[in-house]
Amino acid sequence: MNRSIGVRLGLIIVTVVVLQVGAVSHLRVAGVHPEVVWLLPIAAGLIAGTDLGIISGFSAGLLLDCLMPTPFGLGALIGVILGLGAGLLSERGVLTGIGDIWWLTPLLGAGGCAMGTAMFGVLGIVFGQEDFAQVDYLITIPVVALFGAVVAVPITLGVAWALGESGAGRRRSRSRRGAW
Amino acid sequence: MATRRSRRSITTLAILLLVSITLIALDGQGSSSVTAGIRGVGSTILSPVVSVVNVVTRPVGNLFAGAINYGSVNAENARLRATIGRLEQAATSKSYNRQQLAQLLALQHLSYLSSLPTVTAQTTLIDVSNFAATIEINKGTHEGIAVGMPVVGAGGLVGKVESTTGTSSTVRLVTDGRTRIGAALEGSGTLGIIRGQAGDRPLSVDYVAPNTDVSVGSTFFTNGLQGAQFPPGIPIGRITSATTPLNSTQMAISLKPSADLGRLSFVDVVLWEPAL
Repeated sequence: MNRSIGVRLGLIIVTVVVLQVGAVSHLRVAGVHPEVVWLLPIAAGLIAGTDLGIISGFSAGLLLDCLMPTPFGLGALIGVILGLGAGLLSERGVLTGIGDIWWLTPLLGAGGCAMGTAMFGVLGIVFGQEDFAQVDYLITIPVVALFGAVVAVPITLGVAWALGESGAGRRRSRSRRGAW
Repeated sequence: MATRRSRRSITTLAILLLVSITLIALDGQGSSSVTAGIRGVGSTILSPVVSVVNVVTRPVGNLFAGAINYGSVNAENARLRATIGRLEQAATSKSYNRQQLAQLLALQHLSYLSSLPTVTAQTTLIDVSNFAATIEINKGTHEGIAVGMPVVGAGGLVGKVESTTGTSSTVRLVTDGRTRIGAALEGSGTLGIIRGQAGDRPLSVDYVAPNTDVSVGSTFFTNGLQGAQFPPGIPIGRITSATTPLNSTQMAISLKPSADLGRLSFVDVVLWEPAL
């Protein structure tokens, strides 16, 4: 990762985390607000593979942990797992040939946000936060997924810009890797 | 080449996983200066930016909330109009005298705290996580606020200070799933432990013996027993339902928080630290 990519990726991460805490938390449906931060490692992993996926996931999660009342490090752990998963999907060619389907990004955004939120709850309980079991996941996960689908495209474009991938460049690198 | 790259990836992954899990473990001990330090630095740097973004975007959020909850906003509006009408009628029928004004001010200044000093703070962020009920306030250690201090306002106990930096503090609300408060019922003095249940669910009371004489509408207060986390006499919640389920060893009691947690623009932090 060269320096300019690092700076741009850092800028995107800080921007999304600040927006998550300062702005997105106002948008509530049934008492649930979006969890858009999980889109960062997913987009980075899908575009650039596991290395950048886990690094951006760790950075975004850790930054979020600084501003959250939840266990410190849990966001970073979820970010690493999501970045790894997305990176593996990309590198193993699981998404080969469907890169140009317009609804794929929103779908992956919805799935990734839902998975991130569910893992946050489950791992939180595993690490001793019994009160996480009281969260109404039947409402929380669909709402988070819905918002994830809506903002997946702009965040993916932002991450692609940070990684220096234009639309055409992204398609070329996808076909080179035989992936998303 | 590919093997070296994949080895480097695995090493990076292992290190980041290890760091994450170590941080969680340290934070779980509750007194880790490492995690508190990192969190404090990050929060100090980012909080001013977050606050600015929060102030700028709050109207958009309110608009969104108004659109989503249009029905309930309309109903609340109607209730408020009715209240205003009653107040206007009362105001024209008799003027408030000084004694009434003094009573009002006494209420506003939370007479139940007697002589305990307080610091008034403005709420800057509300419920930033789907997994915890918290607010962020704009006062911290520079004003004498410390972890564990009670926070009151809007009619009763709001919560307690969870973490603090020089200029801001995080307050865990009474409705949070981790909240446990020693309480006593008004009048009878029946003791119980009040528990938050996360989300919009009511508070619940544990350890009240079956068929105890409790009535809907009565208020539970902080009991202030030895080692308590709160000073005595702060209203916590009003009973909305109380039953004894068949074969249960305790009553099932639900409470509505005394504090209106939907109206927390300003709160008072009580400069009182729990005894160790």
